Amino acid sequence: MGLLTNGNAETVDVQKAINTPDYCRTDSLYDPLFFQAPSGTPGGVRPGLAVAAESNADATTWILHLRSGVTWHNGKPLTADDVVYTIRSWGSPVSYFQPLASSIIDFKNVRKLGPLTVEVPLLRGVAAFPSITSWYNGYVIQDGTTNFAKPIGTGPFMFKSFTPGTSSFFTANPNYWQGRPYLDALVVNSSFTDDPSRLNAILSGDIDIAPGVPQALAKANVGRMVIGNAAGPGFIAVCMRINEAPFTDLRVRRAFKLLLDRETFVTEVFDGYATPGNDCPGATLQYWAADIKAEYDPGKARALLRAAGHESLTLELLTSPVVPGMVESGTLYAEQAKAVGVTASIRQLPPSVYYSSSYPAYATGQRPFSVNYWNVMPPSLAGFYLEALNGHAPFNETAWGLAPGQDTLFYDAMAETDPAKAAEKWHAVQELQAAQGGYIIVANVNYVDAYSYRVRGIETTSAGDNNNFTYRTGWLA
Amino acid sequence: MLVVTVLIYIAVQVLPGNVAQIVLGRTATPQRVAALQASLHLNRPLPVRYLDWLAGMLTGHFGDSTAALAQGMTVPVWHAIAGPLGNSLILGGITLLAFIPICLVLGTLAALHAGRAADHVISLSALSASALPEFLVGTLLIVIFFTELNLLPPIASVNPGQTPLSDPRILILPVLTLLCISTAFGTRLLRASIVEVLGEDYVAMARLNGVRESRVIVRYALRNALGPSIQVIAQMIQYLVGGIIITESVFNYPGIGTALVQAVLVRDPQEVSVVATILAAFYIVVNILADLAVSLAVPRLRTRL
Repeated sequence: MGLLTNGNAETVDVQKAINTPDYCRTDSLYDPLFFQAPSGTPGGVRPGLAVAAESNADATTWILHLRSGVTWHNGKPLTADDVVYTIRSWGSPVSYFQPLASSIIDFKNVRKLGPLTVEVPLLRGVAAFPSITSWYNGYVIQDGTTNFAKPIGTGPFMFKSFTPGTSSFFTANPNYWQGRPYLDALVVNSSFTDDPSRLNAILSGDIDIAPGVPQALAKANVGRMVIGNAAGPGFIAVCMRINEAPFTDLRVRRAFKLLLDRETFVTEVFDGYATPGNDCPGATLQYWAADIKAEYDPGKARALLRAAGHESLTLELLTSPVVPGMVESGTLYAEQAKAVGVTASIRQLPPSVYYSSSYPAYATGQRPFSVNYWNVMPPSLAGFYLEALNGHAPFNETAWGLAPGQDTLFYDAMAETDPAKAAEKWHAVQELQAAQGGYIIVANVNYVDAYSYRVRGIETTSAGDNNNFTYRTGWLA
Repeated sequence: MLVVTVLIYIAVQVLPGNVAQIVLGRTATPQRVAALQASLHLNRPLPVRYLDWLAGMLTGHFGDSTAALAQGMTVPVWHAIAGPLGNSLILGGITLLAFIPICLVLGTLAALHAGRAADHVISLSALSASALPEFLVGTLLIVIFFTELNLLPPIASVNPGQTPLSDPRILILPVLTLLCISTAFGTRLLRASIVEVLGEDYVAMARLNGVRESRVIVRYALRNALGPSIQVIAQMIQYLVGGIIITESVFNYPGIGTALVQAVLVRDPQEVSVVATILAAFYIVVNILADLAVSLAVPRLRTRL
């Protein structure tokens, strides 16, 4: 398997996994309480190390029932102590899960109820709590783990060696609770510094799988390798911070959502590997409002801007080539904005600093107008809104929820345990978001992977690249 | 050399973004970045960090990769770069071994046919190849030898524990790329010095005395072109120090250039400054050695006029 390198910053530490090379490894070595599941699965997850989770009526306290008969790579059995230790570790400042997890979990009161039963009290009701536990940094580690030099998991593959920025070698876990993987070994080659050489490596037979491939390269290689392609919740959006001028004016926000022809983004920026956005994040997830459609009406946009006193408007649009399509989306948006009298000048930042706290800092008032991407998120609307769309969200790109009352609908929907009522409430949340929110989702971007012709049993699904990095089901023909 | 180390150290520090911000990525809050910087000692004054680092370099202690430390692991820089350094020496060495005879042959041929068709063909084609950047030449070679002919691998992947010599086929395209670009200047320099020598009175004398032409070339022309040749080889090595970085990236060759690109991508100040210093030191040493070798090979330079 071939991946773009993250150099010496690569890790097999679950708590610090942060990008594709890390996820490939940690997802193979460890298991979560619940697995991310493809679209259509209620709750967005299927059981992992937890066989079931039940909550009280307002979803504020959860009881997790753990799977019996699971053993760690060192032979110890999985116990409630491991899970209590894991959940508490999510609140540690070294864990990248901490910003999200600490916004909902009452860590002090997490406790073991029995040998395979754990109680998790929450700070507020989250009906989709199992989907939150499926997050990469939440995979279950053994009680007392502090050192990840020789990781011990319960996952389908066992650790043999790892050199950051180069490669790692894992072997099949013969005692895996879902059955021994068909593959004897998994080699993750993360030495690649560009995408074309990764795809050349598939053609030459050096690697068999390349997760996450730029759309243009995928299109160019159709017929030379297998291109996996599945709609998912990822997207690219032009983001307005709704508490910064001129976006404080709702008419400006509406105009900025009306001025773009989203079909052209799908074809011109993403080569067809995408669908038009509707400004509601979370396509393919449960309760996502597929019926809300974005309007394209430059005439109306111009009228709204005129009414707001902005017949001509000049502003700066920040972007960066962090993922393919981000710069192109900004450029195409600026192009289409010209037609309604908006001059958006593109300013590119280096990808290494784009998602950082250096000036202009990410998700702050220093970036009133910017292009952002999301390609992974906990598989529920609650998961995404907790990350980015509420007043306390760690990645609040659009400054949503800072005005009083803006989050009321969301907290109510998130705590609703009755599926029919939850669907209604989430719809109301999304109507508000589409009408007033700061996200202009130019396209929901598909997961696109490349495989050699001999790979079988591994697919790209709405759960993510390589079915969320699930390699235990694969074999080579 | 001291000036170079200061420049390298400062250049690494003024790159936009620092390792704490980059490793933390989206999860970076100002508090977390500050805490991580403090734990990595990145919050100490620049001169103090520089002196610490310089002392380490002088005593052969290259320190630990900052990016790895930021992720809570200890990866000594030397451990991370020793393998790639060896791989790069293999690539550079083989290129140099092929470079010398090619330049001698082409340079001599061009000189003997100076002003005629063969000279123009050699000079022009070498010159146009050298005008192309490495990534373009590399990509063209991949298109020809892999995509079209399917003869050679497009990727120089080396399995852990092996060296590039375990599968020499992977070396062919990177070596060809470097040669395409460097042959021109070597050939041109040699051609010029041989043309000059051939115009000397003692060559005309030898020819008039009936010395065979092949003997004239080997004994008179090439012997006297030795000084320039050493300069050419030194320049070639110096070119390789830079050219290898881009070429390795194109072919994903696991050498020091790829390691440097990786380190820059994650803003690993320790690894970047160590690699850059090693490359700079190598460059300077080659220069000094070449000057010494020339003065040994050309007695004239050792005598005061």
